[in-house]
Amino acid sequence: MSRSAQDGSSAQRNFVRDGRFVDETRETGRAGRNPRKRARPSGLYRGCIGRLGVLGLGLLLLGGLAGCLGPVAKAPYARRLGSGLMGSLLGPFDGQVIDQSTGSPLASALVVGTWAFQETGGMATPESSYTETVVTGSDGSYALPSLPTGRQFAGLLRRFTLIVYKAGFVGYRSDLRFDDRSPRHDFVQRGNMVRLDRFPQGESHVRHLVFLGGGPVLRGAAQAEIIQASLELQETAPQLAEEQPAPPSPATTAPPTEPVMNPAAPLAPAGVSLREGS
Amino acid sequence: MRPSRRWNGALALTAAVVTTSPALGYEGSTTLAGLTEQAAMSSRLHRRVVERFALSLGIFEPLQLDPVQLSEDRARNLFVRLRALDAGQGHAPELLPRKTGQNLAALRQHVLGWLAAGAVLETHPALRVRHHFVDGKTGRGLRRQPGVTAMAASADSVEQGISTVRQLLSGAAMDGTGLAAPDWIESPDNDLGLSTFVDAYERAVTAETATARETALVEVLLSAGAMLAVLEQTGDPAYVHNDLGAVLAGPFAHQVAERYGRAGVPAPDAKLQPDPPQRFRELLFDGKGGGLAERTASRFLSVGSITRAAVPTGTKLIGSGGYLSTPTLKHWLAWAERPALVEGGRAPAALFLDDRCFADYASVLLPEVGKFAQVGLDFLLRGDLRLSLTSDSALQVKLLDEQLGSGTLTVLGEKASGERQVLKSVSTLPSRPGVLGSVPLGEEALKDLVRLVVLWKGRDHHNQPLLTSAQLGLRKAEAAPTVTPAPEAATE
Repeated sequence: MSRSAQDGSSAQRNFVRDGRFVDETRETGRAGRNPRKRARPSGLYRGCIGRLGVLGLGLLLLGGLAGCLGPVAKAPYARRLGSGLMGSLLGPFDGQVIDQSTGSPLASALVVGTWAFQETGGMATPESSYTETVVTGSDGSYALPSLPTGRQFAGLLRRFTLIVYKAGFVGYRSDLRFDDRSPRHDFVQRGNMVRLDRFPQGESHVRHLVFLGGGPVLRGAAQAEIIQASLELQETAPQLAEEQPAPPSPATTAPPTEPVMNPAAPLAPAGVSLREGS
Repeated sequence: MRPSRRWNGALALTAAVVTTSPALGYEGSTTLAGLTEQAAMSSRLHRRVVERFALSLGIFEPLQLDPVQLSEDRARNLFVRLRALDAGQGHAPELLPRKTGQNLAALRQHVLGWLAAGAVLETHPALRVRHHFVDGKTGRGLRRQPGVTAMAASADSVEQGISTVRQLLSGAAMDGTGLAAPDWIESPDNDLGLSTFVDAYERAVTAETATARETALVEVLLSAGAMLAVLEQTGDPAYVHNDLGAVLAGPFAHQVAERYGRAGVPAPDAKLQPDPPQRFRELLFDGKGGGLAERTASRFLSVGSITRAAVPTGTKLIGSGGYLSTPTLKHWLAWAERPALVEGGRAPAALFLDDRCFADYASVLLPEVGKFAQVGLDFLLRGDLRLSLTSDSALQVKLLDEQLGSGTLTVLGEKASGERQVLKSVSTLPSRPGVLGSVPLGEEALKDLVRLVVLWKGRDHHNQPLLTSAQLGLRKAEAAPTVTPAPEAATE
């Protein structure tokens, strides 16, 4: 893989504008388009085919140089903690998994890295994904290689997700935290520190499994927890009609109050407070 | 050799261009999948798959999609789309080893995963989203803005990646119009719509082999997930304000995907009680303000639907900028003063939606959307039956929740090999919850059977098509036979 492809951050910074990601491919296409051609179908077809042909040939040639990769989105994480450099979705990724309560390294934890691609046409529709799985060593360390260069990947590399699972612990996702489901901001590409909490007593296995997601390898590793989750659902899942308790009496049930916005109603003079219709 | 600046630029363009894809409303892999999962967990899906299909792990039971059981076109179409899914989110199915002579390998995923996968497939290919619109006021589908020709809209759709050049050439590109979302759900052209759901449900019960039934059940789940996704999209203001531009630019949907991902999508709003629908489509638009599209349109704005008329009459905007709010939304609409074009003049304030508005919109909308999806899923699988075997080998069928119209009850027997065959088929009269009927089978008919299964197919009391089923493990039933009253409503 070329240096440019490997080092996504240096190239990516060139394409950040006004703090927002920019779809360079689309912008390029628009800039070169003559709007008058839209009214002439034959010209438009020729234009599309011609441009796509040239673009396709270019991509084919450059794809070879760049390891058959399409465009790569901006990584939402840093390269290293405190480095200030933007990470790369391409990888590689490494770090260590430790027990949060004791600080000791966790060996044999499953680490699953998934690269997800979307269609390059500009739509956020899935194109393909690629998964690498490793297991932590005795010192709790893991190392996931970069996205392999020898494979054909089509589409925009949209996201990379790292999942760490070890039975008896709360799993880890690189994009979200389990406790409050808020976005995770402490994931880094290199030297990532994964601190796993012991699975709390009374915590829902169903919620945990749904949080984790992951592919077949993870499902295989979490087989025992899947059984626990289904047992949990036997108790907690909403009952069918016959088994439902009697509904509360109308006197104790407050009617649902779902206010509906009435744009025609005048506002209070204060201006920034708006009231809804009755 | 030092690469030239042009080469650097070219490599960067192909290998490391920073982009954000325009969203298609709520992002399939994250928001729609998450909403669907949350809805499923709050619904009766788990108990229903346990009771109706004898799947002991419920929503975590692995199911296999065997392409051999499908037509070649359908198998290939589904296979390609399913293999594209993001494995990191948990709904991408596992590829099983290909058997000799198989063109396509079988795929495996658990019940919840198939349902979420169906939600993602509804946005793939992108052309399907043209049918996700429903105007919150009129119930109409996507329509072109005045002055835009079909050709221009088609060309734009190619440029935006919704349609391909091939579709443009064949006249199949999106021309800026689409079916209304409720019509799309019921359209026979929708391969993941209501007709597929009904057809697959019947096969999931009556197909002869276990593999065929399992594949059909996967189709049921994919269709249900896809229909829920169409419903969920009507909780995106852009889809209910005929705002294709906002759907494609997707600032709201993009922020929702970044903030909540898949696993962070909030649970359905337990306090909200949508009106019980008579038809699934009423959850989207019922003409009385109770559909999700109507609720969304009446309270939320999309980027392209902001006009001066959105601001209530008499509103005074004080200061240089701020937000208009509602009791449920602190940041409903942002405004800012614009410099006057003429000295001493006063330009109208700019009205817009910013990140704070989007954050407030999402926090209110997502639980509501989830609740509608939960109600939708429960509605699709409504009509629970319970079976018991009487001491004289008659099968008693009890109706738990839904009033039924007339229909047909098919009783099937399952052998230890998994093979099912029809034992009896009887007509049923309209019934209220309680005993639906009793079918005498006789001991001889039960010999060698390990399970009895019934499929009820007919219409509910609103005259809407309904399929439901139940199963009874015979070994357990024989150990504890139930004494039941005489047959009531069944007529052979």
